[in-house]
Amino acid sequence: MASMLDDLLAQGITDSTDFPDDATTPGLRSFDDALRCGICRDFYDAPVSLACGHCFCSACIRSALPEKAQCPTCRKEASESQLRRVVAVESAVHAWKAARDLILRFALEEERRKSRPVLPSLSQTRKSSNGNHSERLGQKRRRRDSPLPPSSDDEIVAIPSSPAPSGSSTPDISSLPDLVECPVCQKDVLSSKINMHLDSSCKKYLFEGSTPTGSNTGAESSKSKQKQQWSHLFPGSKGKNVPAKAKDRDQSKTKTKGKGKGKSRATPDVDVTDESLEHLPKVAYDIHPRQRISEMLAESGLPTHGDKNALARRHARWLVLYNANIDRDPKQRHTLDHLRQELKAEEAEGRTKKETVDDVVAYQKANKGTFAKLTEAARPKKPIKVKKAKEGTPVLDGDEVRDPGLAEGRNSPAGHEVIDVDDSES
Amino acid sequence: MALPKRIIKETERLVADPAPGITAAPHDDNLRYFDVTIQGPDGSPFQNGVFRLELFLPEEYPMSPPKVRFLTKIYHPNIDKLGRICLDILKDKWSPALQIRTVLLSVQALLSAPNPDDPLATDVAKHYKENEKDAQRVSREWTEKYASA
Repeated sequence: MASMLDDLLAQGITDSTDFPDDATTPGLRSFDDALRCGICRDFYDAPVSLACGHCFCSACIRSALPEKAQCPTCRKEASESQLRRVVAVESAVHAWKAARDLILRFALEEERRKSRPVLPSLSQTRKSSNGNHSERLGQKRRRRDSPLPPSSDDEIVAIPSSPAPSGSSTPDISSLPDLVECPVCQKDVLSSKINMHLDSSCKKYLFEGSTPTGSNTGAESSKSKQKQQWSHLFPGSKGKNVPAKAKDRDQSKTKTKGKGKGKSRATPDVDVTDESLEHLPKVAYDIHPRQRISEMLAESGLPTHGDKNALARRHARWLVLYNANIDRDPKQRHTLDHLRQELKAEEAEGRTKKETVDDVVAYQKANKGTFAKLTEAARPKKPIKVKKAKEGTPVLDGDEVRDPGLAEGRNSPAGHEVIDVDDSES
Repeated sequence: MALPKRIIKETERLVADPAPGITAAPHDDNLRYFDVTIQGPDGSPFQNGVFRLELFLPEEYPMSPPKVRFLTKIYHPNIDKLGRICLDILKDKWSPALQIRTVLLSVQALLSAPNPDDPLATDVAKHYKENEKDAQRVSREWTEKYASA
């Protein structure tokens, strides 16, 4: 198999099929599956339900509904206004992520135990390939056959029979910074900074995500400044969420520079853990000039390069990420800077990009080699004339090389030849 | 190239636990492009045939459907001579909850149940409507000629 694929599979993506089938460990595989979103197939992140009762990750369904206003599972009519958080499922996912590695080990142990009498040779090979694990257990407990409740300090060991072993099922949690609650002011502080924080009489080194004042200067700790940031998050509704005293403050020095190259601003964030935060309204980009969309992006601390379509797409995606974040348990929410990074990473991957090539000539020059390679790779596959447009399109990766036949509207008789050629191969 | 987790998972499942009569394997240099084979369903004129298809997952997948095309010639009212397939879930009835496996199973089902009332290859559909027996005979012939394993 593809080495590239193997690399990807080795990344440790969990799947419900990691568990033995329901005959061996009844319900476990189904349970793991039941906590996964039908769109991304991962564990629910900020689960929300539609009127029909089907549940999805907030970001997933918020991306799907603009494409088609119906439930992806049952096709019943649906709209974003129906979305409601499903707190119970969110808690269940949270708990299951924490328990999963342990349960998976028990389950695989059980599978091994059950299969042993039937297929002694198989279980033998499994055992030896899993020697590390068994040995470890064996050291701590004398019996190795029975499913063992491992001691708490027992390190979780990768189980070879599972394509997606432990250690990766709780990426969200492991990637969170190491926060502790300050015993004096009860705010979140990085554990490495807690002493310095206390030394500063709880003024400095607060974790950025929990409060806008913080590690950068510590000087501008006025509350109204924090509130002021709200106005930037609610374009079009300025003043509604802003206390009067914040309004007459000078806003110019905050985050309206607007020239940043996609870097997240060093500006402080709003308190994302605030339970009363509301979803941002959708924007009808068609009725706004490019300038206005650019302002909206700047107000949210987002990059403003690209044409109008790119700006609108970026802002729409921002709304999805932001609103999905609101659908998370306030304690689990990401900081706005985190969201900005996420958006940036997505754009870099080209997932939300597409026609954001600003300078076509420069782009063509810079990618001349790539185009030549693509043309070269495509040529032997197509002993026929190809639409010029197809070749000239800036292609971001190798996809199109393989894709020519799939292009719409290619109904020249040439296509017929492709079929014949392929037939002669087989 | 970063590949969404979902695609990696689907690929893993397709390779490890393929649906009956269907194989799908990604290209090493482009993991969004799959070589697919579908066995003609028993009891259909396409029985005993092995049909090659290509499947491509566009950037927007799963928000937009995969692109699927027959590479093997087939005499079917809903599949034209370029191999394009007339199947609702590949067009307006796509849902992001569907996946590669379900799409290929639907294509397989389409072989069992040609729908000449919603034709793509009009001449074939006409043939099927006017003289189904004879049309099936041609389908069998083509299967034997182009799709014999």
